[in-house]
Amino acid sequence: MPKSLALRDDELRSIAERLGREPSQTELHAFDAQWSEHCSYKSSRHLLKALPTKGAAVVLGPGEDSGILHLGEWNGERYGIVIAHESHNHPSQVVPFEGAATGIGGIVRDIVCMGAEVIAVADPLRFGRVDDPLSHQRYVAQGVVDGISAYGNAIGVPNIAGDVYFDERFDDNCLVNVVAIGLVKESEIIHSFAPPNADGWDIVLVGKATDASGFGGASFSSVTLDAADEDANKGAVQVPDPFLKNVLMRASYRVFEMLRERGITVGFKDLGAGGIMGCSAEICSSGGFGAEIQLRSVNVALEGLPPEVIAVGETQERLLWVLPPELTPEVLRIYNEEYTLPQIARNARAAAIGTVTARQQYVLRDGERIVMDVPIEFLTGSIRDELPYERLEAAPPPPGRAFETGVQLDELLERVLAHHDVCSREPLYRRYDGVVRGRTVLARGEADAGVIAPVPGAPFAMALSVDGNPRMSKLDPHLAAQHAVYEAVRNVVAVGARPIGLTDCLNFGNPRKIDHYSELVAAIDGLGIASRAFATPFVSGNVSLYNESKNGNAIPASPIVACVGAVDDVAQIVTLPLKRAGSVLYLLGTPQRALGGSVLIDVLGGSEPGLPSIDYDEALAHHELLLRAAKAGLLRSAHDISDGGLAVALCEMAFGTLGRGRAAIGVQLDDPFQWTHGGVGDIEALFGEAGGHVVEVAGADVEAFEALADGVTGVHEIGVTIDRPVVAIGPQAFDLHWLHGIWSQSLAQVYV
Amino acid sequence: MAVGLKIPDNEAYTAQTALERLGIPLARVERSAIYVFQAPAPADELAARVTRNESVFNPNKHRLRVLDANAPRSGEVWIEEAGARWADADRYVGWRLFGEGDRPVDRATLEAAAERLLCNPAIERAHFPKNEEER
Repeated sequence: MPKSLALRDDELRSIAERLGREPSQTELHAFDAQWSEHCSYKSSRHLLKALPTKGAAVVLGPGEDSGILHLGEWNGERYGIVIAHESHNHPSQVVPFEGAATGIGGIVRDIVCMGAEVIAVADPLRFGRVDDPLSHQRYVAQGVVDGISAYGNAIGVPNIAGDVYFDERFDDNCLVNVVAIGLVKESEIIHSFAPPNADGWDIVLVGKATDASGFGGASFSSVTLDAADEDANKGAVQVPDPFLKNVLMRASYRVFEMLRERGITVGFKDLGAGGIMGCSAEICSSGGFGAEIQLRSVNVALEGLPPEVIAVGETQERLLWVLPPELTPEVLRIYNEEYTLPQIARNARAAAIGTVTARQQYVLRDGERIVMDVPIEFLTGSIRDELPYERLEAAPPPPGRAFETGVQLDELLERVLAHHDVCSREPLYRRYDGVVRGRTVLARGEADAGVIAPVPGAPFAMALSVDGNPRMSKLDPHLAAQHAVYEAVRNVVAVGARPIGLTDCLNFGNPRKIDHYSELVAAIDGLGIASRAFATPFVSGNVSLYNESKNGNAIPASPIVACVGAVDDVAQIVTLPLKRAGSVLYLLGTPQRALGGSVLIDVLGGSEPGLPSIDYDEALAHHELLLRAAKAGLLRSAHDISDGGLAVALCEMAFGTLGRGRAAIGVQLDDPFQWTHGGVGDIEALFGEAGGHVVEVAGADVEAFEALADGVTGVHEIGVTIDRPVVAIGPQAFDLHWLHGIWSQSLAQVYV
Repeated sequence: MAVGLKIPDNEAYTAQTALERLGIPLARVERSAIYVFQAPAPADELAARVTRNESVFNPNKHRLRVLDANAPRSGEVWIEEAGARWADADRYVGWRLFGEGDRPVDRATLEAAAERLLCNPAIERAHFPKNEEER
């Protein structure tokens, strides 16, 4: 067996037994890709079935390239939000710029192939320690952001949401997750499977000429990473071409238009892991068909490529159609002549490369020679790994004492605000175009979630947030997964949007190690609990395993969640910066003694067991209160409480008033003892990360707000806004400009 | 030192396509980052300096060549970028053009390519091979 293959001996035996012969070289590479963790989800698929996937807004749940959620109706048309969530972790660790850029390129294709227009992207990122300017970690952190901006900006899609965390356990394995959002009329969805009448239809490949780049990429992403192994990493190197992608997208939109005019249902799918083989096998198999492909019909970048490279290589910027033969010439004309693909990139084009067959075999021909002939269901659907796991037990918070730091409050604030998980992300996201296309309502930094009004003239809008806290995951993957959902939901609610659906990307270590697999099992269970509690189903997702280096350094369990929210009326959205002095500030949330996983504990250099618990009933009541208050126009601003706790949330709301040509607005927070009634200590009240929101209510609206809040527990009046540039906590006042200077500098040194 | 891509170079292909549309037919175009060090030092020492800097050289996508001379090769123009200088090295973008028979293009073709596309005279300066004998 070739050295580069990751198939296990038992898998090889199973293939040979089923085929009744030794597999060919091409078949070996095909099974290697298709049975990789990346393509097959062999150790996670059965676990993921436990996640809730149905709900009132779900138009299309998991199973195709993207999920679809109903957003709103306008002029008699129902509009859906298409969402996909992927990872490009291994490639980004090896070639950060290209890895991250092709991550965006891939996720965008997942949206396009549903017949949708791509309207936004988001980028949850996790990096190692970046303090050393000459470190590989710094190189990765910079290259990834450059790659995302270079690709996203070039295709003209706004980046509206994201988050970033830094931790030594990402030193050897960064995480580059990408989310893309599309807009589609629900009557015009195209599916990623061959339609029922597709026997004999053409299989048409579109895009860049196939080369050797990305050969072995799927299996590369499904084994432990050695960033220094240049030979093994060849499969990681995929070459982005956003300018070609831009033309491909526009040409595809033109094909959508033609299909609508003719009322024809077809299949359309993006080429990702497993290349031509993976895509053509899946699109035909999921329609109940087989396929026959002629590899000599594939447009290649150089002559003499072996059949397995043409079949399985992961050259970027390619899509695949299943079309009735009478339609093929017109589709080829649109791509090749109207949009001149062959003149845009070397030998790029659309070409018919095969046929859908009723016979349930997957056949590849290299000229007259058959190089692959296997049962298609065996290739695409039969592999499953039942791996052992244990139930994880997390330590509870220590009982009954208020936390003491022995550090002055000004120093604590300084250290927490400068922490890389807290400080301003603006040096990073300012590289991204957040407003291109003119539909962005709230760009990054303006609120807890990005907001887009996707349909011109329509009042509704879509909110998007991505979240997942690795400090929490280190302590308790089960509860941390719930917090990932809770925070994503909370951020969407903070802008006045009702959460309607979720996606997840589950980034974990080696599933064949029982502790890592146990973390995955625990996290999926946690996601299910939170998803059900918030009545917000999962519609799409991805699993990225083997995020572990050769030296055994694995990432912390990293379930990362994206939440889509629906805004009925974009005029009612709520932003983060404080608006006026004299407002009353309320905390919607109940501080807890638990400080485990908090930034505070991190800056103090210690450890503390026990994550905050989630009171779902109270959280739901708070979300409902916030949404009703927003709809009634009672909220001047709102912000979720997460990294750094209430103290940071208040600072950030006040920071938003700086540099806007008006007088800054400060905060006077009442002594925490007054509003916690001694339930927790000051430190827990200020820096605890149990969640919740801060909302700003005009003095004139206090009565109405409190009427809405009647009977809701955990609503605390905590202070007022003031016309002085300070954040005052009880009797101590801290200069807002000083605080802002600390907060805005940490990442500015990394993203110069 | 010339640091080039060993993965497909879209930028080079775009330049080739654009030049062809501007009336300069080519067989292929190579692009590389050129570093000319001022202080004399053994080639392997200079190569080590370049390869240690990951933002300049990533072995997973780059290849390094030690040039015979501190001047463009036949068929190659070096474009000097304003402000793209290291403390002890001059930095250029090298474009090497190949024409019929995969031979380096002549000086006139090179000058035409620089003038029409590769060099923006407002902010860049083109350096050509010192003489045709270097071919």
